[in-house]
Amino acid sequence: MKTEQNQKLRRFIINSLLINEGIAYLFLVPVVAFHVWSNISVSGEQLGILIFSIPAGVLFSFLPTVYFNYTMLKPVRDYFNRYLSGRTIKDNEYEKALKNFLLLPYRKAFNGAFNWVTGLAIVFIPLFIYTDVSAIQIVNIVFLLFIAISLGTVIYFFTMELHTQKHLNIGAFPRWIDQLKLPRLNTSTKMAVAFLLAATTPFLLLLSYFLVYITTPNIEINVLVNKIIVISIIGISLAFMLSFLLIKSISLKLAAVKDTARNVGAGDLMAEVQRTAVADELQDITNAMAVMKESLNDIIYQVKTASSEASVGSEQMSSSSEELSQAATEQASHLEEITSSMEEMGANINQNADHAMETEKIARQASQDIEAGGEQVRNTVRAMKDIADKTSIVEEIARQTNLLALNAAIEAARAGEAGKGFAVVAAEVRKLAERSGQAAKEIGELSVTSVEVAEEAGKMLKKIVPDIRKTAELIQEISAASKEQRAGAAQINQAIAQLDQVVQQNATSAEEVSSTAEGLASQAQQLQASMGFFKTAGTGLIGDNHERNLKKPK
Amino acid sequence: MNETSKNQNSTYLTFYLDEELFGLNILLVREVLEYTAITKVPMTADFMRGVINVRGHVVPVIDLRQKFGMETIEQTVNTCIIIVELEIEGESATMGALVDGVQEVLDIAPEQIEASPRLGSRIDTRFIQGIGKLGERFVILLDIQDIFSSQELSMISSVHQQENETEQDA
Repeated sequence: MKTEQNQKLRRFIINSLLINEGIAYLFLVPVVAFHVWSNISVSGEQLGILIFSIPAGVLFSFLPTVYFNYTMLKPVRDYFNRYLSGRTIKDNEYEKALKNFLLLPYRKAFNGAFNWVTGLAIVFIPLFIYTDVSAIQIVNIVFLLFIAISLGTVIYFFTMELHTQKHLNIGAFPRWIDQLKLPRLNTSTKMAVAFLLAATTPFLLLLSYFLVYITTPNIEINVLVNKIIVISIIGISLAFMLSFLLIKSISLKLAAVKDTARNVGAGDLMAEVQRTAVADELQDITNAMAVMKESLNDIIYQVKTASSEASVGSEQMSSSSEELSQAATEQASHLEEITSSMEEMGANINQNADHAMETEKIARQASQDIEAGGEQVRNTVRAMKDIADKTSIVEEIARQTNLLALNAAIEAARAGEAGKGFAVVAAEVRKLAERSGQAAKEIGELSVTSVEVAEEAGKMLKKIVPDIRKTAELIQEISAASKEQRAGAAQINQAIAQLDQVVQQNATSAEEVSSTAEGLASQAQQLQASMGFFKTAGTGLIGDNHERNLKKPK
Repeated sequence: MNETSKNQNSTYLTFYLDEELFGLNILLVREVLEYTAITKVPMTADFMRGVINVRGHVVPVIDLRQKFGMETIEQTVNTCIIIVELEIEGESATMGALVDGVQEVLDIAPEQIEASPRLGSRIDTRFIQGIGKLGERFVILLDIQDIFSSQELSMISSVHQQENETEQDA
């Protein structure tokens, strides 16, 4: 495909010359020749001049043709060579080349007009100088001038337009420049001119021959018929040729438009817009389509970018919300631990409170018991004192008994042998008395010691009582504090329950967000996939492509 | 109460004076009394504490502590009065001796009695009949007759006389 196109570019000049000059000369020269032979009844003298002037005219019209073709086609051919060699092309060179290329039809048309005017002038001016030219001949020469110049111009234009259109969209001109100030020629104008020429040329030929016919008396009918047939053939072929050129040009342009539209329809926004050679209605359409394509490109590029960003963002959101959900679940489990700890603590506090109350009771009881103990100790002390008193009585009795025993012993001793037995008894009684006295004394001492001990114990108990009362009070306070703690723990439990609810809500919300984000991600991916249908080329509005296409060439 | 009976009797009443143990032959002792209120008699010797009533008889009481030069102390529950029978100028007389406490009546064999030492006793050895050994301890056996001088004895007897006179008066 590419090589074919390159081949086409290499053969640009030859094809151009063949088609333009070929069609122009193949068609026009016979018509002109026919007209001169048939309608301008040249005299012998005039013929003698024409024999010299026609070659001179042909020669003089051929040289400018060569010159024009050279000056027109060479810059284009140079550009094509440069393009084919792959060398870099500067923007201004490219702009110039494109302008030259697009001006080819106009220049060719001017070339045609100039050639025919100079050529015919060189042919016919000597005729006017050296011979008498009849009025009919003058009219017919004017007709000839009109036919040749107008047809030459129009055919050159149409063929060159077709030719440039064929070479415009094959790669040599990759980008379009809107700001080239080129003359505009509407398709409607071209059609009108084509129809006019297709109609007027045979008419003028016929009119011209009619003038010859009425001035020449003996013309046979079959000659007339032949002439009419020839003129009709010329008219039909002219109409056919002009229509062909026009239709071919329009259909090529429509194909270019169709290609562009099909590319856009297939989502290929990177493909270049197929351009049209001459500024006309179809070029308006292609320009509009180019703008449409650029706008679409921009929008879709932005949508693509946004959708990829949305995809990434929603994925991030999804993962973030999953993390959030996880964290919330962890929080919930921690809260459960806290709750169980709090319940344990509450149970401990309750136990403490119960224990404190029990301890308080016990302390009160102990206080009462100790008071009772103190009373008992006092009783004991009294009893001990009584015992001491009683032992002193016993002691007294023992002493007196002792004395009595002594006295008895004295009496027995004084009685001599007679009192010996009595003395023994008295001694025994004395011993008993002494022992009982000793025992009583010991008991007394013991009781005194006991009293001291008991009094000490009583004092200690008395001292203990306020301590125990204080303990009881403190324990009461502890009990009250425990109750407050219990209330506080209950409040904390309530708060934790509320917190737990909130955390669970958070977890649910996070899960919802996560699923939403996942949905969003899939939708964004779907959107991306959908947008993948379009092949875009960067951001046109701020990118290089658009700028180069639209703004740079000023 | 002749000398032999006196000598033959080896039973003694032991008593305390200022922690020391003294002994009196039982034949001289009539009885032992608890301490009772002593009626002071004016114009008598210091050791004469006064008189007491013993079943109707006035008996003078002397303080042996004071007599022996020991410091006087307040009486205790153990303080006793030993009623002693004395022979003054051929007449028998009773006298109370205030002692710290009476111990017991016991026999001290003559072998256990040694003569009074010549030195180192607070009491004039004149009064000491001997020293009885009771195991580890010593008992100073007193000769109560010799404790008092004749003048003192006369004082004691005079008290008796007065008493006798009052009895007679009564």
